[in-house]
Amino acid sequence: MITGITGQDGSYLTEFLLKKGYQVYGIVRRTSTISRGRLDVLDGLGDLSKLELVYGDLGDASSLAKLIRTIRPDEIYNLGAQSHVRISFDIPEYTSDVVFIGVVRILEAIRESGQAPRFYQASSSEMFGKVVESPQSENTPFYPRSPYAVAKVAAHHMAVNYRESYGMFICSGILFNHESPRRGENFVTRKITRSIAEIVLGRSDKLALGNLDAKRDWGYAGDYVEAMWMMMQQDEPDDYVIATGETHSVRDFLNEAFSYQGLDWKDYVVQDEKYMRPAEVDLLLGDASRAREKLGWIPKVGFRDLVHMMVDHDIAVLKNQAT
Amino acid sequence: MPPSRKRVMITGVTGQDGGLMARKLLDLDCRVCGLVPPKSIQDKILMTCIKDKMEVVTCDLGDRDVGERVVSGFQPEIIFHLAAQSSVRLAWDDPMGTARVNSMGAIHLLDAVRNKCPECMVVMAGSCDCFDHEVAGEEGVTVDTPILATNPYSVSKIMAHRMAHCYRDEFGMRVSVGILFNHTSPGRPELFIERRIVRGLVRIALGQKSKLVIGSIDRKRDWSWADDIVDGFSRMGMLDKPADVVLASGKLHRIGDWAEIVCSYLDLDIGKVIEVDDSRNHPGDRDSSFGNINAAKELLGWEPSVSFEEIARRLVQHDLAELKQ
Repeated sequence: MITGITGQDGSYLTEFLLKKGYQVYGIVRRTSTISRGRLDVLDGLGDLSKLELVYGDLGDASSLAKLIRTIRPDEIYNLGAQSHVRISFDIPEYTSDVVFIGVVRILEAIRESGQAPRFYQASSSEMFGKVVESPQSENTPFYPRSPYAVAKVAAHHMAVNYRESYGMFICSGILFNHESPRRGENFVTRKITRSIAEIVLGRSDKLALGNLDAKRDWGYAGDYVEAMWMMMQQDEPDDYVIATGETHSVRDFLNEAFSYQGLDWKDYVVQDEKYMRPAEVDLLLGDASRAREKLGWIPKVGFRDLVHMMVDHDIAVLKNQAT
Repeated sequence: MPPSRKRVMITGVTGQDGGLMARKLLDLDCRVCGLVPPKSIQDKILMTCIKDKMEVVTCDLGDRDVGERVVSGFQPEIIFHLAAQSSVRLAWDDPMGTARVNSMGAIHLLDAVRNKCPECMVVMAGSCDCFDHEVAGEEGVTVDTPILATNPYSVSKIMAHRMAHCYRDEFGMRVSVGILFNHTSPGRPELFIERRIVRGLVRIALGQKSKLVIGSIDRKRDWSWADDIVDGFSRMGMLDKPADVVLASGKLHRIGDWAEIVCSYLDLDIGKVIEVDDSRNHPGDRDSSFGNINAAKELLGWEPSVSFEEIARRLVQHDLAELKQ
């Protein structure tokens, strides 16, 4: 059972689990019907009889309880969220309700069901916020700086609490930024690669961005969903930082992406206050030693390949639309 | 700055602290608006003594629109946010209700202030239960002690606490968090261990009961008299610049010490009347440290005035008088 199946990670995880022979239940909201584009890519996988979309909502406890009762899942992946950090400053209450209370709703539904599904909580490197040490590991104290991050910290605490108090199999994966051609278009990486496609095809000559100095540890979403699954197959549940251990600035990303197409980003990029966050997190750099040692997980796609993959994809899509 | 004629809002005004705060502020000639949760059993002290002197609004802070309307209507200059589901025990049974009141209630209030009266000073009641007491050690818990969540109650308060910082640091709002250690009074319900012990032992002394079963006598707590804590908390509202402050007695006592003192006032033999049953403890229960009150002394000029022994004596007297009838 997957919440947030229509999101980037949801689609990669679904693809991964279907290949493993899982029967996958994806929870979709009534309103998310319009945004199921990411699931269309699964068509190429052939047998979709093992994917079922069911209606539910992280904001609705009884819908979650009913789904757990009827589906009787072996594994639950909680990927649903209002995951955009800057937007969480505009809608802190909604963000808190979905991200934090949503987890309490699922955990309580599991407890009341009397079943023992394994539970994966999608935690985020944003929880480290104003970082107190670098790189950040599972033992680094949190310092959240946005309503989204505060809500994720609380959700993480609650998940750990249920694991320790009730002996439930719960893993919290603290994932650093992970991108892909399926990344939401309002996230900076995808915004850049989409824009390059438009520039290459002569449809645009400008790209407005926020803070170019923000540094992130960027990995490939396809690699990261595999880590989620690996955590859930261990004998004992634990928390894991998932990261590449490399950090790059938005400027680095621009350089790599534009020069790949023989362009100079300085000719196109303008900075716009509108896209600046009220509070920027510091240098995010993950230490994934535990995942490497206990799970044997290592990222396969590097920064350069990731950037090229996204640019190639967006150019192909735009060309396709043109014809 | 004298608070006279200031417009002050109190959430959770029917609770122990809310009632004490309302009376204190009315004595200071503030204009007070108290928020009362729907369906609450309206506190008798509040209702009989001060209800008519203040504005009382029924309001479910779990509902965002309601909070916004109330804040917008009263336009408070100071808000003391005391509304909470404050029992750890209840939080295990109802984590969702606890999160709704403690976390979402705080966020709705903060956001209402951001939208409707951003200059308002908000003083939020935080909890000693949000910190890593083991790490605190000899120094006691300060605002810099690392955060630790040990139960759904503490998670809900951490959420509110962190969100308060987010609104202060990122939106530039005037938000302070008072880290309150255990504080008690006759108005505190029996849900809390020190009240349960006093009432239970008083009943035994009056022959209404023969034995009191508790989970542990070795766990330690830092207990204060509620009026002292509320006094410190009220001073936080008068600060020019928002700041987090720990309010506590600064002293640690075993639950057994508490029972011992109460027994001595009642001439009971502790060994005969108290039974310890480990099964009443929750796996998440942990030992506590005490609160470091240096910052409270410096910033607020505040000090606790009622001793541990005196707290026990006052509660015993109160319960004896009440339960005799």
